[in-house]
Amino acid sequence: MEMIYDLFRHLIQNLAQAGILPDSLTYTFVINALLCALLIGPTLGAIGTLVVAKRMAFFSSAIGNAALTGIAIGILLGEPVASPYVSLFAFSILFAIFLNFAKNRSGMSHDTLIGVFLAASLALGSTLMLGVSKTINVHILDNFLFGSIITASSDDITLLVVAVVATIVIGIKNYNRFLLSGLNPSLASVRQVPVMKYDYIFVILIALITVASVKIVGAVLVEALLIIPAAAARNISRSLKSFVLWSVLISTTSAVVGIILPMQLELSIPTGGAIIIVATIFFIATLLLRIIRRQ
Amino acid sequence: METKITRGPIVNCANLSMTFGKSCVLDKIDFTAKPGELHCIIGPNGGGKSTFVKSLLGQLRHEGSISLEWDNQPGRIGYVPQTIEVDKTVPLTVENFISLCVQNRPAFLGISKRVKKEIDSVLERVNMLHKKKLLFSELSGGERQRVLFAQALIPSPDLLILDEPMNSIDRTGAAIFSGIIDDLKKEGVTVIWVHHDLAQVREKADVVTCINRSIIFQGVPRDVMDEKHLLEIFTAQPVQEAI
Amino acid sequence: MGKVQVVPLRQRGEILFVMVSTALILLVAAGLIALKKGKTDTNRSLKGYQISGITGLTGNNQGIFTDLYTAALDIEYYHQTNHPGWPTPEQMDIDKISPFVQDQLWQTRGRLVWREQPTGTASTLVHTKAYVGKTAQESVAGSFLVLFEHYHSSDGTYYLAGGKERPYSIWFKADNFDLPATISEGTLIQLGWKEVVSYTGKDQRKELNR
Repeated sequence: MEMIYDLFRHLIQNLAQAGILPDSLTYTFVINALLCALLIGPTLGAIGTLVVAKRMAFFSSAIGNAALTGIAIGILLGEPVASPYVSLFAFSILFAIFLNFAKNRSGMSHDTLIGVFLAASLALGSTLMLGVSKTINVHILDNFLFGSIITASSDDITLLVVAVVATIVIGIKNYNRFLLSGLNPSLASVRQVPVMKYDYIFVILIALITVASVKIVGAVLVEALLIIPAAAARNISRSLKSFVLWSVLISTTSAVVGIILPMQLELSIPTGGAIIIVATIFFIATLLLRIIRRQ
Repeated sequence: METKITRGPIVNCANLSMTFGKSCVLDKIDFTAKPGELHCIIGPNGGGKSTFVKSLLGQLRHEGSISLEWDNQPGRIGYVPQTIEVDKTVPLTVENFISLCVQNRPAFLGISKRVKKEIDSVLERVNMLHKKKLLFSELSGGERQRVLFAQALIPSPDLLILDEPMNSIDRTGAAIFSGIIDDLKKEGVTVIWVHHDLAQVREKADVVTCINRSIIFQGVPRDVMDEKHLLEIFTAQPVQEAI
Repeated sequence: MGKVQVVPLRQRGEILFVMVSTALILLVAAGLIALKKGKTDTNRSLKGYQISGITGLTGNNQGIFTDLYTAALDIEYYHQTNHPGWPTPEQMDIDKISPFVQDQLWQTRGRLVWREQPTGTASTLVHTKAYVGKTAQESVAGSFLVLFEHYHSSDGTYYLAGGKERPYSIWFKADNFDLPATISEGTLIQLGWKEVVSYTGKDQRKELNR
């Protein structure tokens, strides 16, 4: 795996040196960044259509913020500061499971419940961070909040590949079941979809892809990339096919442009921020299109 | 008279009850629906009709017994929901929706060749084939309900349960529904239909049950749908017998 | 005749699932964290373009590498305290820093001529710096190159790029000395330079703690 990746990277670097590709691609980390964009973009774009269709934007937001707490726990437990993945995964997935369980059983309004979980997680996370900041440089944590393509290593990429493959395989194969469960659980149940089981699988998938993307896009903004491209696509789509296609396209373009453009222009802004700004521009554009068409 | 092998089951409820927290939503319901019959369920809003239906589908924690007696193997259950939350969340065409319900292939990749014929045929049956590329949001209420009905016909159901499927129906739609249900009845399918249009119920149903937490009345429409009983449908308490 | 009982929705399965998965996840996590703590870097295998400083170099080369390895830390420190300046080979000669100092030892170790080599990439985002030591006697020792690479954010905070553990890498070429126009990992590898790595199990947290 590493070998293939190295070959690919060195090839790109030589192409960049020869002037065929933008020269910022001579840097290893920029190539890493591009790879990440091409992995994250399509995946979040595709799964984002389900998140939007199932009205789980708030839910995925909570999971994104839970990632921060996972990171704090990981650092405290002595994991590598730049990649406390074990705690990150464990906490985020458990958080997703418990939140879904509470949603099913508590009888509370979903809105309130998610809000409580989110706030509690943030509170815990920030408290732990304070303890953590005594031992490490706090600026590292900025990377986790808003993403930093600079610090993405090949380990991060490997992890991302695994998460992406799992998400795409499970997400696409079961797309209909996930969507129908969200539109009418009763109907889905009669149509032989084990709704509860698939709800759990879905939230675990979201936790998975969120965690894998945290380093690059940032915990705060992963869920934005799940929602904004899908929302933008919604404005201009007249079928499920174009909905998914546009969402993937917008998401990938936002990711690539958000990563490469600041590099080329030598702007030092957090990766997550750049990506979301691009995505938002798309959203505004499609919104205007939709409003104009309606007149 | 020759005994037909019926497709549909005998649906039997004995002492069916449902409680949500402290309130009793269904109270000791005894109910039987037979194959080849249209059994309509009427009652006031909030009286437990939808809860009853969901219990039949095994989706709630009911007390008491619900059983389906099939002639042969257990067959397929078709369910027509009242509505589907689609407008604001996702751009779904008629075609998208049916393929979503019916095929394995992700709906956004188009219709699976395996089921294309069947899908086209049921859409034709509800007279929506020519509108299959339209978005749900562009359909009238009646057209939407026809599409929801179409989904229940793939695969051909042996027990068909409809939950207030005609809230905003038009005359064409009503005729379509009627026609299909007549066909299904002839094939021995058991049909249970929660309905609020009393005139239609009186005209078409073979058996009618009025549920308002418990069974208010039950029987052949001609017999039981008289003035006193009809009044009870609209009141929360059972009407006292006039002395 | 098939009588099928319609079973009320039972939710005990859900509770079981939540408890089992929680236990599983916690167990696996605990196990992985314990495992990671015990691991050292010495188990890592070399990539095709890498050689080990311990087993891949001998004699003089190993000596140069060890000195360079230590000097690199000093260079890095100098750069940080005199930002954005870098020490020149002449300065390091005067300061008697091996392998830049041209002393007796230097005479016997191939008489490497050190100079600062432009890396060919100019960016305010990423700072790279290369020093090249070309050997005068290929039979005695090979040539070395040390490449520094780091990144500053707008507020001056300092990062290592691409998940690297060290802000520098050391490269070795035994013969056929040749330099690429732009100095980067890829271009060096293409011309046959090898990255020299030593595994001494560094504490990663110390590296990032600046």
